Amino acid sequence: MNKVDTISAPHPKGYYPPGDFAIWFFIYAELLAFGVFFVTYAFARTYNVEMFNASQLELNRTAGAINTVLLITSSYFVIRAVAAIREDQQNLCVKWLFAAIFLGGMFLVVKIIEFKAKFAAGISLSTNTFYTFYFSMTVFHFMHVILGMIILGAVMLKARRGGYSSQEHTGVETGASYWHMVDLVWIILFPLVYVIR
Amino acid sequence: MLLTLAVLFIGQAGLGGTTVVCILLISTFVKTQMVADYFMGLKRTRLIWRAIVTVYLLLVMSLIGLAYWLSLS
Repeated sequence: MNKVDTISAPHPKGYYPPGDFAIWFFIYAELLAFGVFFVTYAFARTYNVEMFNASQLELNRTAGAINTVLLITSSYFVIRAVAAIREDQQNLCVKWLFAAIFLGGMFLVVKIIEFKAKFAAGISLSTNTFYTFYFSMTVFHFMHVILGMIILGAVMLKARRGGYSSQEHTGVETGASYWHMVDLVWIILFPLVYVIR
Repeated sequence: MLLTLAVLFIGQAGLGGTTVVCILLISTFVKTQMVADYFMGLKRTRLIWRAIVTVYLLLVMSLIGLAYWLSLS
């Protein structure tokens, strides 16, 4: 963890988080919105535990675990991209960002396969309360993954044109921070919706 | 990654109960705090920025734990 600690935290203690300061208000607001979702799900479950447990068993836990690994690995690639730009290695930064976006795309593919299987089985948002939460939370998160990929894509294009350097790379750190938030939220969502009973 | 595999194992085995819920919530807290500390780089920023995430995680995990405890008891 020491190497990761070093490359992800450039400022000495007492400074602001990496990236544009404004993104952190956005990140905390997003965490709050997801937090409300998570807690509401947990308390809604208390009213019909049997139905929630039975519906939960119908989910594809392997797909959920694969998606967790994809997002964590993708987050690590973003860290490598930030480390590369801090050393003025624009091409390497672009490659790491591309790899991160690719894994984000893989996440979406796995999720679409999961959604298709559910729709094919006649399951939808209105099937029961569990699936209302399942689709609401996972689609909400799905949209955040897409937004994160768009942000990383824009950062990658700018990095490709030489728009970032070791002196000025706030945009890369900003995109990275947002992507890590998307990762963090999924790490809570996966056990909560797929596993805990 | 190991914690994710452990979570998957628990899910596939269909394990439940207070102890399992506690283990899952604690492992989720550890993983998310590590993401905040090392990936987001909050460990070396002013304490308030890290504390916001830590308090948020503790609050969310505690409320989820409370809800599950209510349904188990």
